[in-house]
Amino acid sequence: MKKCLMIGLILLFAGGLLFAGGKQEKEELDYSSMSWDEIVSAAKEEGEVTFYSWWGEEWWKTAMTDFSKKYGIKGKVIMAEGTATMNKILAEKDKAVGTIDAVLIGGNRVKTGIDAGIFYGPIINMIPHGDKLDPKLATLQEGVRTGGYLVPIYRNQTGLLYDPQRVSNPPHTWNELVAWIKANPKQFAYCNPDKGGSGQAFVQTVIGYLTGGLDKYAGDTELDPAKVANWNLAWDWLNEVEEDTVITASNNESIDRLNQGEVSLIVAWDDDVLVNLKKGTLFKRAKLYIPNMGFPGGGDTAGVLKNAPHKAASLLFIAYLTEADNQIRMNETIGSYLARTDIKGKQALLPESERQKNGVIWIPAPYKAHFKAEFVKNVMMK
Amino acid sequence: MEQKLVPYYRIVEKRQRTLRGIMVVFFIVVQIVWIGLPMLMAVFWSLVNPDHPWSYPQVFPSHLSLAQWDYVFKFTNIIRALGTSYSIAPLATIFTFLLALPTAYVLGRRRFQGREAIKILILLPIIMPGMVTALFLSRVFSFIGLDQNFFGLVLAHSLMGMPYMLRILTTSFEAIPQDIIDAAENLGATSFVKFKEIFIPMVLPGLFAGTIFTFITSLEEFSLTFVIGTPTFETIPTILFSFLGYHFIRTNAAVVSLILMIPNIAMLFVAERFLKTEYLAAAFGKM
Repeated sequence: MKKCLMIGLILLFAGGLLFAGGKQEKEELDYSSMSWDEIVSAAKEEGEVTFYSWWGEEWWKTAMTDFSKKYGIKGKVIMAEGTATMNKILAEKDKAVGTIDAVLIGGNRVKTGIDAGIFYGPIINMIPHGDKLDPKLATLQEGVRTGGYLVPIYRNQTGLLYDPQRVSNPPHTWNELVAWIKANPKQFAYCNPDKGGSGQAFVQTVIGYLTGGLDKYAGDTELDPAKVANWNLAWDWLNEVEEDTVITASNNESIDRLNQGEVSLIVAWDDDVLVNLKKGTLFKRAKLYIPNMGFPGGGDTAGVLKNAPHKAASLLFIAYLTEADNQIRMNETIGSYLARTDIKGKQALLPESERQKNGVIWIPAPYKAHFKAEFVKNVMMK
Repeated sequence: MEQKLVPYYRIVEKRQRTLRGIMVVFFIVVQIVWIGLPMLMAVFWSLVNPDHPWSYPQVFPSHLSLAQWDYVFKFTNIIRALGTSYSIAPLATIFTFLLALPTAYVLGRRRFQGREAIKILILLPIIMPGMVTALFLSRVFSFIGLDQNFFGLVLAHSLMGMPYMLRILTTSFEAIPQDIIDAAENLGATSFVKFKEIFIPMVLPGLFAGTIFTFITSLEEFSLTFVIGTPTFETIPTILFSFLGYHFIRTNAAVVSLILMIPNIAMLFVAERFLKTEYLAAAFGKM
């Protein structure tokens, strides 16, 4: 009996090794030296693709179904919480062949992904419309240099969202915002920057206005301690107004509190607002705007994993998502603004002119990581 | 006129009845606030009509619709996930039981060095954060070719349910009075008879509780399933977590929560009834 058990275990172990070894034997193709037609042929030969996203299932599933019909490639969309997906990718990082092909990457996880070297590429020049995608987002995603490894899929923008029944004259300048917060205690909400981008947008704005502007950080790839030496001014002000503001635990919690009438002015992402309007979890009268003082915007990107089992099919799917028709359909379905700059979408809470005029870029990643940690230490824990 | 004295025991009885009444009312109120209200809110959120948002100052949604349910069934793999979840959970429960029974017997009835340490070590999978356990175990599963594999998932869920089953069964085995076993031995009972007539009936309540815990742990397991199972397999929690995370969507999360919760609650009611009548009687009737 013992012998049988031992033999069984050895066979199972050997089978596992053989299985893992078998996958490693597959020869890696160099897609960067191939023409697009050759990549399309290789994609059809691969025959399948798996794409992970954390939101917008309505669009990704529709797009994948249509993609499968068009190219005869079997597609699978897995909707999963973004941090869990990143953990899975990191767990599989050292495997020769992973289980995920392509993934939608949000701003709060891009640094982890780029630093860990999980992406295949650079790919932006391999896909046909790479040059028509927003050049700012194609270079930097929330302050992180993506080096062409990530392809912009849509743009989004932070702004101030309010209930027009309770806010008749929303603030536009820094001084107006400060005065409004003081005049309306507990009516302004922003999320903990460690938990959501809308909170990061607000804290970045505070830092910009109280510590001498944001220009001095441009282009920095490392944190310069001298440049953050006076950030205590920002923390002091945030502590001073803590009694008058509401700090929430996520982007959507801010929207939820506005919907429930607890607060009347919040910081929010435009695509989050559109999703909530579509789901019936935010009143239709809500208004979003980018104040004249400027609020940061960016977008989300997609990348192919270095150990993706179907790289060509992943490239083809990402290219499909950036096609003009599909960008417009995406905008109509989930409301996210087009990553393509040569075409315009209809569904937008914020007009393009307002984005161009008042939208600002994110502070470089090392500073963002620093203020997220410092906020917890200097505001949340005080 | 002669005054009739009320006996003291009557006063005590009356006080006890009043106290019992207050406690019952208190228990019902707590249950309503603790379980009923969140359930009711989940039901309402799952029925919100997208064209008529549920907003302040409305206490209840003004219009109801099945649009959120339709959305979840249309744009997620919930049907397939239901099939996978309810296939893995019973198999994982049986597998856990088979692995836990002999171990629990030894831990509960035998005395040896390191027994207490083993009992604590058994709890490690539930002490450690789920994702940490998942990340380490995924390497092992991948190494032996059990990732993206149904049997691998059953095994993974068994590992997560094992602490509950093992601890409860161990305690049940420990609680069996030695007198009964000695009496059976004196009457010439064989090991098989002892097991069949004493051990099994007396650990049945524990076994039942362990089964419920293991089954529900399996149904709600996320981390390990996500890391070693997706994209080949999706379960209900893998879909639920996509609505609960960074991009929290209350309406859809409510739908998936109800899908996960309703069969479990029904099962708990059935189990509770079964547990109270058959097994407790069987186990303690012999004492």
